[in-house]
Formats: sequence, structure tokens, C-alpha cells
Amino acid sequence: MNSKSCFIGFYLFLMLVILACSPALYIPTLADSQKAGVSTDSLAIGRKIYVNNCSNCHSLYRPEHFTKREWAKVMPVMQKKAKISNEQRTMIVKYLAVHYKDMK
Amino acid sequence: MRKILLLMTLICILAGAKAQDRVFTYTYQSGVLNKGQKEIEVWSTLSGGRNNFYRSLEHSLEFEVGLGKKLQTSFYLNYGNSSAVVEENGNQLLNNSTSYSFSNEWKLKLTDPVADRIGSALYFEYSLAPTSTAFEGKLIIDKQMGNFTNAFNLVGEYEIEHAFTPDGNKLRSENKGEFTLELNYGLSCKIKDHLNLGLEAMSQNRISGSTLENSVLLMGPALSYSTNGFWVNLTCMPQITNLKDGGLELTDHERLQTRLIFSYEF
Repeated sequence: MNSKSCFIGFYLFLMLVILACSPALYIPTLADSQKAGVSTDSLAIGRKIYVNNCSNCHSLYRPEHFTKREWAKVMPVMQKKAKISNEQRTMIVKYLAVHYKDMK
Repeated sequence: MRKILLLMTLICILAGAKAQDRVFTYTYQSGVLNKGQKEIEVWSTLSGGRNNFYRSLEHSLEFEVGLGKKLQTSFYLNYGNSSAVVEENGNQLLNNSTSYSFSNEWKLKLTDPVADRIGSALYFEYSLAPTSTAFEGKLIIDKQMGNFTNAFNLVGEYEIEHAFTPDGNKLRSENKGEFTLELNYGLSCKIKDHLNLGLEAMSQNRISGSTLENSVLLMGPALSYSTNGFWVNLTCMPQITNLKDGGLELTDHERLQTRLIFSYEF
């Protein structure tokens, strides 16, 4: 095997490692629904609104990136920037609330 | 007071995030501008260190606009100037050349680097110059994990050069095609709210006909600073090795490439 093949092999290996280690933004499950006291469908809609409206302007943040209090403070400001309704904001908050960063 | 500071910090983190969160100069990420968002980018690339001296400075002025539905387009005005030592009839001369071209790119985001398992986008660009035409396609893959951003590009570029050779008292036109396969990889870490530090690598493989002419690997540090509506990225990549024959390839490639991009959103 020549050095070029080794190099391409290394790249492909690297990509596989990245793929294998890649977590995605959580998709609501029944357990999440029970924890939040909200239907899975509502959480899924909250996720969709969050992804479609927020990722256009900046990288998305995982729910566990901020505490409940931090999310609550920043959401009204972001709501204005993203031009989303109060109802849409509530749906996003419900989705994020399931995996807030714990205040420990 | 503490609450106000906390709120200010959070808003800075989110609102201060640049439109595309771009942290590399050579490696593209999957992000696109939102519908109606506009950015101006100024690119400067300094390359030098071939066998025949050679030094070039290339500038691009890019106007980017988001079209919605995860689609973005850009228009570039490119200008370049290079100097190289050439030999004519046994005498060495310093040859200066200038180039102008126009490019138009289209980028379609397929998946998001945080919401999905992996971010991806497709990219197409064409460039028009007085004596050449080039087409470029990219597959962009990226992933954001905590403070780390990974990006990988598979790039294919086909350039048709219109060469002219003397034929009696006339010039004969001939089209020469050249294919370049490029692999780009970038890894960057957010070390402060507005500052990223990382590494970029690029493998350039020039193919003429069915022959691999050369294959070089460049790698170097990448620095990115962003604040509200403005970002600047700098990468300095020395040539590491010639993957085809070993050593360094300094006939068609440079010893060092440095690129600076700064951008304003408006």
C-alpha cells in the first residue's frame, strides 16, 4: 500500500470515527413525554420549530447546555430575533425543558 | 447586578454567534445564511516558496446572500498577482502576471451539524476568466460536538484552460483540461466565547488525463475570532509532504499558503 492509499484510508477512518461518535439533538421518546407531562407529538413539534427557526442564524445549542433559568432568560430575546410567536416559543421551551442542565 | 451580567453573557453567546459560525478558511462547513441575510467577505491568500521563487497574492471579494429553504448563493470578484523567475534564452527574468475572474457559488444545506447526526451540504461553483473556465463541486460534512467543530470536504475541480500557440503568423487555440481532487479537514476548539483555535489540513491531487501528476499535503494552525456581525479567520499551512514521490513538491505547489478572511454581516 503506498502512502497515498494510507492517507485516504486515514481520512475515511477519521470520518467513520466522527460519525460513530456523533450524537444528534434528542428526538422525544415516551419517557421524555412522561417526564415533561407533555405529549411526544408536542415535544416533536417543539424540536421542529427549534431546528427550523434557530439554526438559520446560529449553531444550535443542546438543551443541556443551559440551565432552566438561563434558557428562560434568553428565550424572550431570541424570540424577537427569530420572529416567532408566543405559542411557538412555549413549544420550544417545553422541548428544551426535558433535558435542561441540572443545577447541581 | 449578577442577573443582568448573566443575561448579558447569554445574549452575547447566542446573539453574537456569527451567521454561519465559520471557523476555517480552506475547509467549508454546512451552514448557510438565513433568507435575506447578507454578508461581504474579503479573502486574501498569500502563497510562496516554489523552486523558481514564486510568490502570489490573491484577493476575492465575495457577496453572499441567503435565499431561504437552506439555499445560499455568492458572487466573487477575484484578483491575483504573482511573480516568478523564468528563464528565456539562458537569461533569468522576473515574470509578473495578473489574473481577474468572476465566480458564482451555490450551496444547499442538507442536514444540521447539531440537530442531526452529521451536518452536510452540497456546493457548486463556476469561475470565468479571459483564458480559462473552471467548475468546482464539494461534498461538505461537519459535526459540532460541545466546543469542538469537525469539518471534512471532498472537492473536485475541473479547469479548462484556453492555451494559444504560434502557428505561422497566426495563433492556434487549444483547450487543456486539468482535474484536481482535494480533501480538506478542519478541527477547531472554542477556547473562549469569541475565539476558536484549531488545525486545517489539505491534500491537493492534480490529475492530467489519467495520470496523477502530484499529490501534496498541507497542514497548519487555524485561528478564528467572531463578534456580533463580524468574523475573521486566519490559516497558515506549510506543505508537509509530497504524497506521490516523498519530499516536497515545489515545482507546481508552494512551500507555504496563508489565507485571511474577514466578513461583515449587513
